[in-house]
Amino acid sequence: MIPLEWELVLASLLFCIGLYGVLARRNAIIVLMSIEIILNASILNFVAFSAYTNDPSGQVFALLAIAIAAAEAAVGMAVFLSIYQTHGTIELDKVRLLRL
Amino acid sequence: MTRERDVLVVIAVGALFVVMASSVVGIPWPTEAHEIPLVDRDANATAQDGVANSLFRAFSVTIVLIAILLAAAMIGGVYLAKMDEPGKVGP
Repeated sequence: MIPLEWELVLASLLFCIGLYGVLARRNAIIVLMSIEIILNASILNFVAFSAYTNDPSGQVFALLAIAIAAAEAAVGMAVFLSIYQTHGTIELDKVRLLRL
Repeated sequence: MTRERDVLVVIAVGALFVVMASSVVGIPWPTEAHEIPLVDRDANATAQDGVANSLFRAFSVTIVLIAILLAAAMIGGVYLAKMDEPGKVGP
């Protein structure tokens, strides 16, 4: 069995990879994928603590978080499609939709 | 500019990873992992006995809320992405 420390370090690594994608990349789809990676890091923490504390609530939260991630991805992709049709790009630095 | 930004982000995220990883190492975490059953079919099973028991007893309202959220996301996604006329997308 993998020690809990290793799983927490792996979750930290996943979180940092996702944070790098959000901060450094400009493509909206890559940013959305990075947000999903961050979400997966939290899900990994839920499942790890659930297994080591013998409490199924963490795995239930993981299932609910996966469902919310699916909804987020669907709406995000629809928004990006709309932005691409209006701006011709999904580079986040070039989209000035919300700026005055 | 892009190169400088990438380097700054790598340094910041690397430092954050070191802080996060060092904060979880060396702590006396529980060492014994348990296998939680998917479902306990016993009639007297509580919400703590299996994932499905907990999901459909303690979190039944949450499931309904998630279902409403998923339906709203599906309808909203289709509404945002639908193309009424060529070249025009969205409301």
